[in-house]
Amino acid sequence: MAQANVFSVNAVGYVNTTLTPKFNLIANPLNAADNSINALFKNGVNGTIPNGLQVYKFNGTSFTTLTYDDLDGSFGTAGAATLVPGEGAFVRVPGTANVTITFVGEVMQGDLKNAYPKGLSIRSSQVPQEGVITALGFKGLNGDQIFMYDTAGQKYVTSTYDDLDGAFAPAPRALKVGEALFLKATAAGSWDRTFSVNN
Amino acid sequence: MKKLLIAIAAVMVSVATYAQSAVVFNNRVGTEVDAKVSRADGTGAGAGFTAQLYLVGGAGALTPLTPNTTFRTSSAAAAFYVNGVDVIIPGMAPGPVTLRMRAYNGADYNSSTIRGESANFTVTTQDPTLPGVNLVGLTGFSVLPVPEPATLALGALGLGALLIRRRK
Repeated sequence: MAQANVFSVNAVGYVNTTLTPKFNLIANPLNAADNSINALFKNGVNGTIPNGLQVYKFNGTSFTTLTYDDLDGSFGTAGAATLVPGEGAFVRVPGTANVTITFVGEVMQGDLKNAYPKGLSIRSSQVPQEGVITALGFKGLNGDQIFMYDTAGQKYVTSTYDDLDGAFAPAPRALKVGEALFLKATAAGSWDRTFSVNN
Repeated sequence: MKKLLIAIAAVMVSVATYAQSAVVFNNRVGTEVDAKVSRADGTGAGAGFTAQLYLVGGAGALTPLTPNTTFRTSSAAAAFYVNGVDVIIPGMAPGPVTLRMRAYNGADYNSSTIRGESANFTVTTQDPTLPGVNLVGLTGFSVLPVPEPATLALGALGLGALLIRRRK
């Protein structure tokens, strides 16, 4: 029986994410060889990670804070914590200047599963594509809520999934590459997506 | 060497430069909130009605919160519910806040001819770095015609006449 050849292509690239002063809700868009926060935030453009930049990882109820210190040029031992594609974290930029972080790594492909708990978590698309969350493979349940962060206004915009309309309302804007959102899930689930760069 | 700092919500509050709390103004959120707003005939409020949240203060003083919103019109089943919006409560640090929801068909509640309001309810808001809380505790209500002054006067007159007859 003839069988089609299947080619697997590793796609490697980079993404520049610009962070503005105060809070940004970001994601790691590419799977790096080292997904630790120390390694991910090493690649500031021109090495411009400002002293005092902070990363906040959410653990379900509270935040763990990691602070960049230019004396060490790192987040210390805390910086061993990882930020993998599909997760997210707040980053607070001190001062008044933008900071650009360069993420380098592989595009995640195949049958991707991004598990999330009941309640609050920070999530992102495992595939570095821009799009509305439902177009990126997320299937909502009645009562699920997503909170997208308005960086300019430093506030959230909430959309609630309602089974009466079978959609999130108000309609959420597109999630950018390297952006995360807060998800409040009515039940534990998984944001699944099958993706190949060949498609 | 830097220690791993476990940040509770209070630490994030220190970063914020002003006190404010946020709620998700939506009267249908899964099984958490389901507070229908109905017309006198039992149908949903739907088109033509505005919904607004109020902060209930001391001695019952009401402060309108913004933005207000409208009711859904996608279906008869959805007409009981508002188009959800985020409402910031200015000047309120995270903690318990007492709110009331009103719905009305005019430019504002007092001048409307059909209107209604919920019972007061209390929610506990959280640090503004976390998403707004849902209106758990909000109960449904009906929007009803406001009696006209002439109707009220006639009613009072009729009652007065009844009392005089009884004395005789």
